[in-house]
Amino acid sequence: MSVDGTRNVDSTSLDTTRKPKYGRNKQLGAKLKRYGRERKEALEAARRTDILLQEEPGFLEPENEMEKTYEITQKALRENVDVGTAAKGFELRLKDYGPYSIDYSRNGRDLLIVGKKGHVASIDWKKGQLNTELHLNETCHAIKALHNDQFFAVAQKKYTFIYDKLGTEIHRMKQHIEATSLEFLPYHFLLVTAGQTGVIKYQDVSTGTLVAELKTKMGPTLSMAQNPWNAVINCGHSNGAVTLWSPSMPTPLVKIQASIAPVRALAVNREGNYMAVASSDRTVKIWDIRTYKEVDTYITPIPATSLDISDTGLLSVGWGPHTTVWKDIFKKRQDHPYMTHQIRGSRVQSTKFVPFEDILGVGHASGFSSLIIPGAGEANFDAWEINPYESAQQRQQNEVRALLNKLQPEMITLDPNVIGTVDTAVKQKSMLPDGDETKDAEGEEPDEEAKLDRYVPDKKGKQTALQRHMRKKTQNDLEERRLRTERNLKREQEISGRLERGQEVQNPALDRFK
Amino acid sequence: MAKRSNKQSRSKTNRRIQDALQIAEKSERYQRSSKDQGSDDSDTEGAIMNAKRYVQGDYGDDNEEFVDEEIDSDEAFGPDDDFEVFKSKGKDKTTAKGKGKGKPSHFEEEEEEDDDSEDEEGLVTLSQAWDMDDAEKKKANFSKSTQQLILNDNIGSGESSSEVDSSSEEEEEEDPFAEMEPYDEDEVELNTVVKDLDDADKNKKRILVSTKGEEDEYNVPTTGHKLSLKQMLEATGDSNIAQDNFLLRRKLVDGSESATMAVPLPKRLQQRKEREAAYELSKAEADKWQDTVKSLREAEHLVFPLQPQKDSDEEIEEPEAKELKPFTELETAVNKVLEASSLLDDKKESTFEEMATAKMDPADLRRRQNELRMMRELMFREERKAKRIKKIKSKTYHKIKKKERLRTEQLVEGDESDDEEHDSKRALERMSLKHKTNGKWAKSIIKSGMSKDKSVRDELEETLRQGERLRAKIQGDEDYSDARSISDLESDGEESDPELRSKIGKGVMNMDFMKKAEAKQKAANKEELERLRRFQEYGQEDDLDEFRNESTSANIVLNTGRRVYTPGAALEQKEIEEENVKVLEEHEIDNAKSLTNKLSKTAHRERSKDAEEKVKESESQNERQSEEENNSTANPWLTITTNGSTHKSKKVRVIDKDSSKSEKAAAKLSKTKKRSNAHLEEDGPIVDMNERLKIVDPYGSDEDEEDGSNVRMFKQTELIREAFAGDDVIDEFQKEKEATIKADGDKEVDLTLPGWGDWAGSDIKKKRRRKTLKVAGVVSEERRKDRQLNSVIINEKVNKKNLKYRTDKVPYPFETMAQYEQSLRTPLGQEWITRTTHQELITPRVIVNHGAVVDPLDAPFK
Repeated sequence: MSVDGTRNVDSTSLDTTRKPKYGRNKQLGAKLKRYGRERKEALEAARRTDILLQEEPGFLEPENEMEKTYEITQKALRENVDVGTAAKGFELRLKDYGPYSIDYSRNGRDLLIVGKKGHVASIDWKKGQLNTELHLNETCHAIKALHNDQFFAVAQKKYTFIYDKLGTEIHRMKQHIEATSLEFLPYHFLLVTAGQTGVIKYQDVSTGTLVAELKTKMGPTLSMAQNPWNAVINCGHSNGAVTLWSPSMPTPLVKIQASIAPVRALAVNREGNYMAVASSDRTVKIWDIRTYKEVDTYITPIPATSLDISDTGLLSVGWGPHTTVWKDIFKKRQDHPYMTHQIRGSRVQSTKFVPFEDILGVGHASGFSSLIIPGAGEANFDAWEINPYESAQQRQQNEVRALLNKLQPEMITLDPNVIGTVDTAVKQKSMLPDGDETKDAEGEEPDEEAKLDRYVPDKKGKQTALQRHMRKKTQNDLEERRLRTERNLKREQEISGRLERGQEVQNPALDRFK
Repeated sequence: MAKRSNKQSRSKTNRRIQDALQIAEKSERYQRSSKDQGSDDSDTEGAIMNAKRYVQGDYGDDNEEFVDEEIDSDEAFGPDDDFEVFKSKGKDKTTAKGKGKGKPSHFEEEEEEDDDSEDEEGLVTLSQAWDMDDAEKKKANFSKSTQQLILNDNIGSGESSSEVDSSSEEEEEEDPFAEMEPYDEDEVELNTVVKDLDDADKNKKRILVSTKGEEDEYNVPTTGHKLSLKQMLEATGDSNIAQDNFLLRRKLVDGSESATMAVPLPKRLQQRKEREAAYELSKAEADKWQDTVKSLREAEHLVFPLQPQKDSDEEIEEPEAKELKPFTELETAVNKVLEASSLLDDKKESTFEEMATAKMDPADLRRRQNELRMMRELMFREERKAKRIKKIKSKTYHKIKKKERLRTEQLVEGDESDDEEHDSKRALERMSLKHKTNGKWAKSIIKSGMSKDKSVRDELEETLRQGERLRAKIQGDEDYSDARSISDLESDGEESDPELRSKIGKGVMNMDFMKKAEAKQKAANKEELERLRRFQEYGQEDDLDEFRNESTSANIVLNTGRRVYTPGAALEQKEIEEENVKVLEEHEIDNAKSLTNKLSKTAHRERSKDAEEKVKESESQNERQSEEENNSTANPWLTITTNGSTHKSKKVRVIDKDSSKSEKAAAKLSKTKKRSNAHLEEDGPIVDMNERLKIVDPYGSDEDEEDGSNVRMFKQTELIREAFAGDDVIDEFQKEKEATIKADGDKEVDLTLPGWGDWAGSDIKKKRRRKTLKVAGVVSEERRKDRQLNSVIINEKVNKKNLKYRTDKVPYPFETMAQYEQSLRTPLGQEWITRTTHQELITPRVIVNHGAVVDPLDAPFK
């Protein structure tokens, strides 16, 4: 993400005290000096642009110790905030087709809801305008907006479908069977599905090809989340394991035994540092996924069903009828949640923070509620990246630019910074016998026979013209010419000091029985 | 070569023996030479030849008529022949040749002089003959009648011409040497040449070359005396010329007329020297470019054309402006005047000014400066004084001011002292709505007739009083402002009396239509005034009526400075008044204590908070508070409920605080908390996977008050443990991890084939040999990244698919990996860096402006 301009610029490496050693190459020295200067200037310029980030995220601050932010109800908030914000906290009562899973488009403009019983709707929620509404008449599990608000994917009973903004069915992806969770990697244009089959599938939505099918071999995948920093897919399984996947590896990059009970929900923060894992044993655990260490454990009275982390690092936990929002949970252990909300008589199905808004969307059994969570949204947006106010033309241009900048699926690694660097890792050795490693177990000196027994791979181009001639000649006719060539060959081998295999060459047909 | 020529001439003489004249000459010459030099070569006789005859026989073809093989070879003798001879004979030859060749010119000249003295005219010295040069030769060829005495052998070839002059001859002779000899023999050769030259001096050889021919313009007979340059100069009669002449002088310095020139270097060396010199020159020339080229090479960006073309306007106009000269007479006149008065130049002007001061006495000057300073100071003081005086106001002014201030103070009711406090008070007021009886709480009290309780009644009373006070305040304010405005208007009216107006002026204001308009306006003003006065008299009722009728909203004052517009507020106010009366009546009747709890349920939260603070203060003495805090930190989920029992308990404490009951309740509460706390401390909230699951159920502890909370807890944990008892996930995971460690580690493969290569039989000794192969795995156990992490398996296999996005070597210009990575560290994309940085980084190195002609680099002469 580019919202904070200097994130990828590593400030630790900027030490001017140590003088770089350039060797004798003056040109290279000048070049490196230039790189150093450019870097310094870039950092300085980035620092100076901070004044352009005018908006500041504001949280609810208690005036005294006795005041608690979690005691403030949505109603009280709505009464006290400005009219525009108050209008954003709304509620949709949809009792018939629940529970509802939700998703927001990347710029937060469109709200997508899908009820378990097949009710799908795409809503421009700020305008209060319904884009489309579908009744699919079959079980629907998840919904996901693709790269912009024009398309969305719905995981239905058997297949996963792609619809456009107006509700037209664009694709039926028959390879994605019985998916229950969907993810979309916007920089790679990959739609990832996982579900009952236990296979994670990556579909490139720009080319339409199925990029990878990864068998988890761990039964149905219960939950899935992407790491926004490195596009690694984290999957939660019924044995309490969380696996990290890249489409270029058939085995998981990392397997973490996060809990002892099935993993119900997962979330990774924007910086890709922390992962929240909610499991059926009522725990919500915070994992540091740089060191793969458990940081903290919280207990929910009812097993949590949904987790989401906002751009500013607020964690929303949906458990039973409650939604709890935690602040600074990755920094230190919190005693109190930041905010809470209860939807009586309903169960929370999914919670999603709206990008660039202080709003948390909650899909539950009897509809959808939009909660005001001060400080949840990133205050400053980068219009190059995601523009919540984009026009149709800007959207089109962004789409083209994004396609031009599309990353290849093979580039997904745990550490994306290794792309383009020098590979220092030892190359994986093949399992073929190497020959040189052969040694006697008894400690005996390897005798002649053993030497001959060695596997010698066929090497092309080693044969001389005479050898080739000999090989092509049939064994039966003993012509003078053949004898001559044989003689010549022998002499040649004598000269080159390779007599040890002379016999074999003469009799290559029998050689394989040795 | 001389030797050769001698040889040749000898042969020739043999052939031409009949020529009597020649014989005579020869004999003569012979005698002479023998006289001059003791020893004599018989060879030299051949040096004489009949040039005439020689010439007669045409060079090429005619020669062959009287030719034998020797001549033939001689005629064919060219540089090629030379080459061959020397090549074959080597170095030995050189000394021999040197003898013949070394023939200093002065000696020859001497001889010739002698010859000339004896022989008659028609003889020309060699030098003279050669001075005539080729052109003459050609002429001679054409004429054929011309008699010339020319050195015999090389006559046919053009190159031979140079041989006549001794110095040039030597040079010529050296050439073939230089050309043919190998490089390393240079020095040796040079030495031999020098030596030969010395030798040549000793072994002089006299050659008489004489020509007996007709006299013509090219062939002037001399009396045997050589015409020297000196003689020629003397003939001019100008002694100065002779003295000035460089050649002559040089001769004088040398002492001898015919001093030899230094031996020139072999041509190859000479050329090398020349090349070196030329290189130095060209290098110096090229070096001038070095700085420019270096700077261009080091430049990050080059924009062509390098020198931006200047705007033609600037270039032209500036010099014009400078060189502006007066054209007309008038202009010149003005210019003159300006110049004279030194107005034309700033510099002159300033100097003119300085002159005045310069003329003055320094003491005088100082005095003057001080004077000026003093004046300035005094002026400044005066100014300040005036300002101060202007500020001073009269008593009445202050009186009025004071009144005004008091009035405003009254308005704010002395709360100004602390602005913040005031603000907070106001906020509290607004939130609690303490001055109104239309709040939920007040209404409920009024409705349910609960005001028998004294404290409640007191509170209600307080609210009413507060409301009254506020209302009074606002009304007072309004009255004041109204009165003032009317009086102001009146005073305005008085001010504008006609007399005063008429005094002002007779301008436009005195005109008829203006007056009319004024009168009209005045009338309107009066009317307005009347209306206002009426309004003041009849007062509030009218006002209220008006409001009610006119708009749907009414003014209700919540607090100072705040207004809220709500419809029907006035009506409500009336109601409030009625209610107030009712409440006041009621609240005297009874004061029962039992209802406090009931009331507390519906009490406002804000109020409860205030009370809570008080409770805290009291509790801080006996550590209860800390316990409570502990409790809350231990289980965050305890506190999350927004409604329900926790608040209830708080309120109980709040209300009962004064009474003895409150302490009782608090004690009870603390007791239960303590108990729940005890087992919370036992098992921390963090669950270790490998341990037994111990989870605290906060709701369970809250629900059951005193009995069996522990039992229930136990049940809960047991239940959960039972629920997941079947799947032993941890063990499975450990097993899997071990398997992966094993699979990834180094392996030994047994390659032994049973029975292979063995013989069967009874007396065969069985060779027990095992062939194994060590296969390097992905990573050894010690090196695994997850060796410290119990519940993590990290895949260490190389991702082959993304190997193509990495390099196996450091790319070319970089020498180390660190250098390469340094080049990658600054991102280029504009998503990561600022726009300007991005554009700087992606600027190409060479930019050629579109349509610009790129000229070659200017010569860098600074």
